[in-house]
Amino acid sequence: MTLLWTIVRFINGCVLALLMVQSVIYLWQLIVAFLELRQHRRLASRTDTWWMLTSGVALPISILVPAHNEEETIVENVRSMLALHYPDFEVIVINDGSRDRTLQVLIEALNLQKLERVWHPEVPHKEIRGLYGSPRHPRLLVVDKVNGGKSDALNAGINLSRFPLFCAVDADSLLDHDSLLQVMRPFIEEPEEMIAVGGRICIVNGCTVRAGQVTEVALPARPLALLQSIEYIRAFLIARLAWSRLGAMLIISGAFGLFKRAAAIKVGGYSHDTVGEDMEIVVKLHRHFRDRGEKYQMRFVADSVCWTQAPETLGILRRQRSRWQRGMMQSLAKHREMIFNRKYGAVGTLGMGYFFLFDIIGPIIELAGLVLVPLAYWMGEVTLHFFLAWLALSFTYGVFLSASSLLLEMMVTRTTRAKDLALLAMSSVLENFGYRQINSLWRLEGIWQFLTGKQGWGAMQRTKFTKPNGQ
Amino acid sequence: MGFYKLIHWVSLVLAGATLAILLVVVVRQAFRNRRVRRDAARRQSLMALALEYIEEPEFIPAFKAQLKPPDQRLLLQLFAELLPKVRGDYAEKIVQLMRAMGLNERCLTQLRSPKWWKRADAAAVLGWFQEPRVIQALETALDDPQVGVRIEAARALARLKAVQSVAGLVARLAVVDASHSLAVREIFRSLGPSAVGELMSVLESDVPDQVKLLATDALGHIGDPRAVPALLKLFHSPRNQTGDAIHEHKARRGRSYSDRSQPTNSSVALRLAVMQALSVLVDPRALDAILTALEDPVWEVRAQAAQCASQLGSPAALPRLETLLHDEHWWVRFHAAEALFKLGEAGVNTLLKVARGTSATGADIAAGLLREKGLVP
Repeated sequence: MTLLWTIVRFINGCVLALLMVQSVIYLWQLIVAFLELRQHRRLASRTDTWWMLTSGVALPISILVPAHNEEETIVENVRSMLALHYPDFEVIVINDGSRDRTLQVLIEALNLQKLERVWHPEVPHKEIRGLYGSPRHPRLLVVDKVNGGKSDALNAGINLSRFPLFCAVDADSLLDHDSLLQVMRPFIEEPEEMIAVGGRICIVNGCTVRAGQVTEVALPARPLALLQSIEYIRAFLIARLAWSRLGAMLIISGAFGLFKRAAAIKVGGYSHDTVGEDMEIVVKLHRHFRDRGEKYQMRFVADSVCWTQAPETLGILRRQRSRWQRGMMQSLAKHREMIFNRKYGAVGTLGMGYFFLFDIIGPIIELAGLVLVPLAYWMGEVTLHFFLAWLALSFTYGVFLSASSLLLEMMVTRTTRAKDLALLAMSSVLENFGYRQINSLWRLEGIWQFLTGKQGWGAMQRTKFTKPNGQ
Repeated sequence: MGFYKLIHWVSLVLAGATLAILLVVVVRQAFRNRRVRRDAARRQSLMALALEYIEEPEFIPAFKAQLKPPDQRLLLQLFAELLPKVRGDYAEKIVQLMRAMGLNERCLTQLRSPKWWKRADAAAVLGWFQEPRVIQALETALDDPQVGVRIEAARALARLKAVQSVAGLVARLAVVDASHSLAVREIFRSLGPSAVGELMSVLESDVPDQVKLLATDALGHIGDPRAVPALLKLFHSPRNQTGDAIHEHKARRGRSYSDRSQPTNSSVALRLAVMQALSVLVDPRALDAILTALEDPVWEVRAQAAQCASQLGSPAALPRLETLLHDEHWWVRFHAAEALFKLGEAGVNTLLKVARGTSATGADIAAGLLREKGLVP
């Protein structure tokens, strides 16, 4: 029994130590993100979209939209893509062996006909069954292929694209009119070294969508989506910005990322053996360029917005989160030599080290703490001071960080309604009591799935975008 | 014990800070939204008024009398957004109105602001005022410590056709970190035919290759045929040719196939830039250079030369384009096939011949392109 309590006390010590280190790192991230945003805001506010549209500096982009069972939203999404403000782009929709009517609704709605396009298999993917296009939409190409997963579909899109840059966009997401211009900015500043740029993901649930555009921004009505809103703000405006500034960004969201085609081909395109294809390609790019000592840059642009649907039921959210965790672990395992390896600079020591400590070990320790610290206190094995310190570190820092992320949100989005901010402020407090802990549990599930070798995505539910009343 | 107490106190402070932050966020946003709404409404009414008075300049004093002090800021924003979108007479009328409102004076003052983004904004707007003291102020701004301000000043001077010396522009813009920025490239492109002579001298001067790339690109986009001999000379210059190219080729051969997608040295980039410029200039004097480039050891140059040959439309390129249908690199084969298609009947016949031929590499691309263009089922 004494040995057992010694182990419990040791674990409790680890919990407190990890929480303290985590709090310090979060605080540091917050400061770095603030500095980055302050500098970035000046540049962003000076972005002359008219100049970018008309001067010929914006490089042509192939927008790749992998679609699997997306019949509910695909037509609206494609129309929205075709209406983007950008001088030269093509939209390549890749129907990845959908079992529903995704291809049929596209053919009917956009009057598509079969066509031929000569292409070269530079990255691997499954068989292409047919290509479709329409004289009415010369920028659009629809690819029908055998199901092979999102990575496979994106690889097919890369092979068929003919422009120097490609932008991967999820089929259930919508881009703002100027998003492509905004995300292009780093490529204009550094056309040679820039290889990838990520945009910000916001939650579309609750917003009004007309003709494939978000016309009125509002918060989700359902609590689960609302809690994810504050989570997304924190993830993108603190973590992503900070890592971007430090040159250690390991994820460009699969929902919206702009890549140099030649660089993606150099690393063999998207990998088929992970479910976190967005993290995997970024890690591969870091590794490739660092191994060869070639100069490169990747950046995050906070005001380039992509709107995505957030899960509104616990079951779907659980599948999504455990999949994210599994994908991250697959990538870290594949590139384990990079973790804490100084050869890979900030990417290996800071980025991957952080992911390993706080996204793999973190949830385990946090959940262990949730069970063991109150138990040990109840049994009189730890002091009241220790217990209060644990409570403070567990909850106060989380609330402080979420609240601070709202300050950053105000720096980026200048027209959020005060009522919505008040609601977000409330959520930033509430998410720390229950939601965060459930998330850690799902992460644990993801770790278990990784260890037992589970594969696949699991079903995601799609709903039509919200329209205003009477539409 | 002291350690835990420290954690407790820090947590209490953070909890207080959190409450304060949340309160500030909500209250500040409420005030900000009110200001944004007020500004938007005022901007709209100012826009309507300005459009009315632009047509009747004699009433400008009456317009000025209706303005409140903060309106100058709003009007400046409004006109800065509007000016790039209008042309000719209408743009001139807006500039006159701005002059009558004293907005040019305001921008000249703002050009000395301690905040770099304000200086850059002012430089951008001043690019519409063809006045000696504005040009002088923009010339001074070319020496601004912030590259963002220098770029805006240079763009404004280029718009006013008032760049006094390309060499000066090169010294202030190109030989700095921003030389590779596409924004700088666009400024050089917009210099216009009057700068062709100076840009040609840049090609022959002792400047870094990055600067020569900018000049080459600009000469192509300006589209003045006087630039062709200088570009051809650059293409045929010894250090851009054989030895260097072979060295480059060997270096690339040593790398894996997928690695060979980017040129490794600047001489290749120069040859590529010359071919790109010649694609825009479309001058028959470039034929020999294009034919040479079709056999370049570097695939990017061959692919660009194929595009260039299609623009020129000379049948003399046909045999070499046919050879390129069997090239080791797919993009070269693709551009050669496209070039042959654009060359018309003779090119299409070549494609049909190769499509029926025994070489799988050539037949694949030729037949594929003919199918894409709908010429064969």
